[in-house]
Amino acid sequence: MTTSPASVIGMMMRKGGWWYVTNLIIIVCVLLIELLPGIITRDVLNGLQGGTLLDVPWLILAGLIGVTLVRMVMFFTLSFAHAKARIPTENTLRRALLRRILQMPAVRALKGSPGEVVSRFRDDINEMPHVIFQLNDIIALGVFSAIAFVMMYQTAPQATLVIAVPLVFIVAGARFAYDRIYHYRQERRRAAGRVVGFIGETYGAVQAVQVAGAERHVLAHFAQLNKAREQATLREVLFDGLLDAMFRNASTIGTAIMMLMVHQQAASGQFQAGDVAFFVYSLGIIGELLGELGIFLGRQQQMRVSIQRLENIAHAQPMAQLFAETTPDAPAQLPALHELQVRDLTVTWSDGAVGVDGVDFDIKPGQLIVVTGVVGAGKTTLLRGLMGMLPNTTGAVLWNGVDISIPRDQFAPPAVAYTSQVPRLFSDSLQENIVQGRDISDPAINDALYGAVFEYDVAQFEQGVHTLVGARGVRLSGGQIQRAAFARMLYDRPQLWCIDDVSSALDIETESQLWKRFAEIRADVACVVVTHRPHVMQMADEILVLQEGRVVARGTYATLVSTVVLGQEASAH
Amino acid sequence: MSARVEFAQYQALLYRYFWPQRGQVILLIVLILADNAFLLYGPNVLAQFVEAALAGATSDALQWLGIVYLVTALLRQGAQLATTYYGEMTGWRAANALRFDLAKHTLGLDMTYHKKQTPGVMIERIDGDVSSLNRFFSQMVLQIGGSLLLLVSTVGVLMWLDWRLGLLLLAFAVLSAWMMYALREVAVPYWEGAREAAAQLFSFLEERLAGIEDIRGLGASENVLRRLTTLMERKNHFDIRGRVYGATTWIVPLGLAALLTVAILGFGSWLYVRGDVSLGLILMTILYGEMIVWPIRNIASEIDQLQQAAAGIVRVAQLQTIPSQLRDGTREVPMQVPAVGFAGVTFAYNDGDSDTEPVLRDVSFQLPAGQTIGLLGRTGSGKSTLIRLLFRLYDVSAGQITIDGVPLPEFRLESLRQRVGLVTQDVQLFYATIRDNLTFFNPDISDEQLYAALQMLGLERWLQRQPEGLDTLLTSTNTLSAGEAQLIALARVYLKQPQVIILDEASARIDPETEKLVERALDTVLAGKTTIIIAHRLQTVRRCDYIAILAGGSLAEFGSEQALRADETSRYATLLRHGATEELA
Repeated sequence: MTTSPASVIGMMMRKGGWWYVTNLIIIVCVLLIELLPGIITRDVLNGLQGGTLLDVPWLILAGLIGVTLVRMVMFFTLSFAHAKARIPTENTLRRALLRRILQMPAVRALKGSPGEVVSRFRDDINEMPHVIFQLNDIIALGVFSAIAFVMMYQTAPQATLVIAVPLVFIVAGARFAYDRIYHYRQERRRAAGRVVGFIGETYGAVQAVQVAGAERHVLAHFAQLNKAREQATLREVLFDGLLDAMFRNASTIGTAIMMLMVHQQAASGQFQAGDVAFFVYSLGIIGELLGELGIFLGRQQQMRVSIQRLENIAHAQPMAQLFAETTPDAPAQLPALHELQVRDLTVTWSDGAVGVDGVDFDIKPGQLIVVTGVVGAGKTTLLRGLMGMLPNTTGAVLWNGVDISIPRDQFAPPAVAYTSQVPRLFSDSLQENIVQGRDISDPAINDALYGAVFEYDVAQFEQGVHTLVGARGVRLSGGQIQRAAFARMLYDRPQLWCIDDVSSALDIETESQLWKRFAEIRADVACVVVTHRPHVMQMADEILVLQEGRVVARGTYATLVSTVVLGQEASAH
Repeated sequence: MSARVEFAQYQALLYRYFWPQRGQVILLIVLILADNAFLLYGPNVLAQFVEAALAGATSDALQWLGIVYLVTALLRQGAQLATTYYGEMTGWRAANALRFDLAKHTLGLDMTYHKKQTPGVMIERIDGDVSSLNRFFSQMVLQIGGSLLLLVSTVGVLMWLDWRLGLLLLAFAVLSAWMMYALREVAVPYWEGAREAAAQLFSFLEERLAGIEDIRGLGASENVLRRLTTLMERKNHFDIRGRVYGATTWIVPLGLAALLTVAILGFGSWLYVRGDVSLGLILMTILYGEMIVWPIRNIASEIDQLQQAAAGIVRVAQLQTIPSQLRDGTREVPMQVPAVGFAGVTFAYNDGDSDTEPVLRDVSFQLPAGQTIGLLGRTGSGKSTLIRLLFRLYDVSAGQITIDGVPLPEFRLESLRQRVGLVTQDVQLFYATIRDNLTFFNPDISDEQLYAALQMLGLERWLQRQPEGLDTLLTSTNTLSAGEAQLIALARVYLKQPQVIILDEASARIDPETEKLVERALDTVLAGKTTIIIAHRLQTVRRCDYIAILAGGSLAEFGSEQALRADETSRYATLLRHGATEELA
């Protein structure tokens, strides 16, 4: 269930704090002051018509000038308070959402393409705070309207009451438009999300697009998505415009009713030129109130869409919790590893298929377990399940006999490190990529580079470890990215290393060097490695051969090499 | 970088994107004229009402004026609604055309550019910046144009009725316009800063969201959140200043408007007492004075928006002027299988600011048509760079690469890239359907062709498991293992049917058993084609006709596979012995 817009408005107000209150107070004052020119105009004109006030009240006019200057200063403060009051909401939501996403089982954490999710972080969060300032405007306009209404009533009670009738109807009628507003907004957002997502994907894979010579087709698809977005937007614009016209028209209809109602009084001189001016002036601002009210009601529907979209990427975490931004306690540090036991580890996909089925193994520091099998056998799934990165993972992972439950937050440095099959670097310096916000220690960096057979390459870089690696590490070669990721894993020497096929992009010499050094440095570390390489298997204390998610054979290289399973592998080389 | 946007830049944008829609634009102008006419007539009816009442007209006559007023108001609303709708339509079409042009331009840029961009930055450039321009297209031009027109006609009508009151209004308008001109660029630097900060923030987010698995595996979440906070603070810094400075453009005219009411009341009363003007005319002038605030406020707020758009225009213009380092040729790559030649190829990655060490030095060799070459060398020896050059992802710094003797730059890029196929070990997949991932959105490839390709690579069973077949959404991490992704890449090349094929570590992530399947498939795909194979495992290159070994960017060895194998002293033969023991012992 999504949180209601009304409660989110309350949360945003509280987040805005004193700046929000300041905004409210100033806008009310500004509008109260705005009554003055109306009243003065009325009295001057009526005075002229009656011939009683031939002298222009210069003092009052001079006062008006002073008030105007005060009002301008107020407007600046208003802008400042507005900017200040929306920032806490934006910051809190962005931070809380990202935190939430990072807490979920990593492989399924993202609902949509990264670009599409970014569009929610950007547009939905940008737009939501508007509504609380609009509410302030409405409150201020409401105060103004109430006072003006009383004054109008004093001049022409009947006419004033009749004018009120259509206004009430219009506001009531707007309720019927709600579903449509909601629908159009959703369509528009969805279409926009597709465009943004597509741009992200295209430029994320720009080399593939260029190499495939597919620019033309990609552009055609882009044009198609743009068109759909244009149409969705226009539908919404037209509908909103109709609603808006209905609301804003209320004031002109009010003026026409006034003319029809007061013609007798006017003919008899009871309703004077100044009164006409005041009615038109007040009705103009009352019309603005109705217009804002209409937009406000509509915006609540649009907000509902935004709230839904945000709670969706937050894996149904309600807004209240996002706003509260509860910082989770840092997971307790795991003690020194004596033994890791994996019992009946099973990963089920959302369609019911089984990715990994009942895998058991034990590992102690200094031991190496190799996982192998054909493409799609579940090797990567096994590692991800072990790391707690997949939902629907069952079975036990016991660290010194203590079960570590999903999402196994403690399975991260300094206890555990993981290198994925296709590691990603971030567009920072090499050093930042390796250290990842941990304490910087030069000897530890050098050790990590050595372990990853990367020290030679880094020495060649003009800026050494401070070299910028580019988006997704694109300035490095494939092999360099893998070794940088390997170094990142080795940094600070975690106690359990989970390595998914790390050497696939390396040439023979570098690879054999990597495994040689791996043998040197892994002495007191427990390692789980996915690989097909025979010489890694030879080091292994146990090899698990996976097939369709099950362990179909296990043992050392020596015992397995005689069986058919590994015989094939060895003969392939 | 200058924040000032030259008028010519606006003009060029307007011409380029509005001229194709001139019919629509004319309709808009007519609508705006109608809107203005109705708007101006309203206060006049009210003035007539007051005058008639003073003159002792009958109730019927006054009632009639009420009805006229109502009809005028309704017509005006209609005109306004139509203006908004067609304005948005024109604007969106223009903006989408611009988005398309930007996408086209940037997709044509070489990797020197793309290396420095994250997808998040591209989203901000192509969507974010243009969205602010979108307002410029859809609203600003119309609003400013329409408002100016209203301003002029309001002053004109009043001038005609009483030149002194008209003059007062004119003075006000001129003063306001001058103030706005003086203030027009106050906030530009801040909006520009804000957009830049936003681009950094959201590209940071995009990159991290795409790498969640790595972040989680590294326990780097808190670090990521800390950096998010820093980036948001930077954005807020500019947002606040932009908003406050930007506010001057609507606050100042609003203040002036209040002063105008004072002036009309004072001056008008004086004229009335002298008997020069009627009370109805003063009322009308006051209503016009209140009305004139709107176009001025509109112009002001649009100028505020224009400042944001100006930042967008600066960045869009910048993007459009980035030249591709590649010039497109005119020739088509021949349909028959060609020979490929490298002659004295030297290349250094140029980062724009500093020239770096050459990655390739004077590499020369010839690969005859239909032959296969195995390219060996350590990581970083320049193998992948050589391939990128063959695709013209970059151009050579010296020397040349030829296809059937014709230097690459003479071919059309599209033709070149159509006829040469590449399978890399890192497969870039889209968050899109399986079909789109295979065809790259080419609608001409039929499903039958897709089934055939998948079948050949043994992916039928995998496809059967997908809930929606070819329409299943591929999310790179969810549906595909890395090995399967490589098979998909092979399928892409198979569908393209190129004459030259490059396999860059194409089977690195495939287990030996699947590799056999792939090799059988490759035999079909590669038969008779000119092929370059980059491999680390010697097994893969043994069947090649030629072997080339790169070391430190230079060609260390080149020759036919048989000759090199027979020559005990060759690097290749040494590698074979070394590699064999390494792999099999």
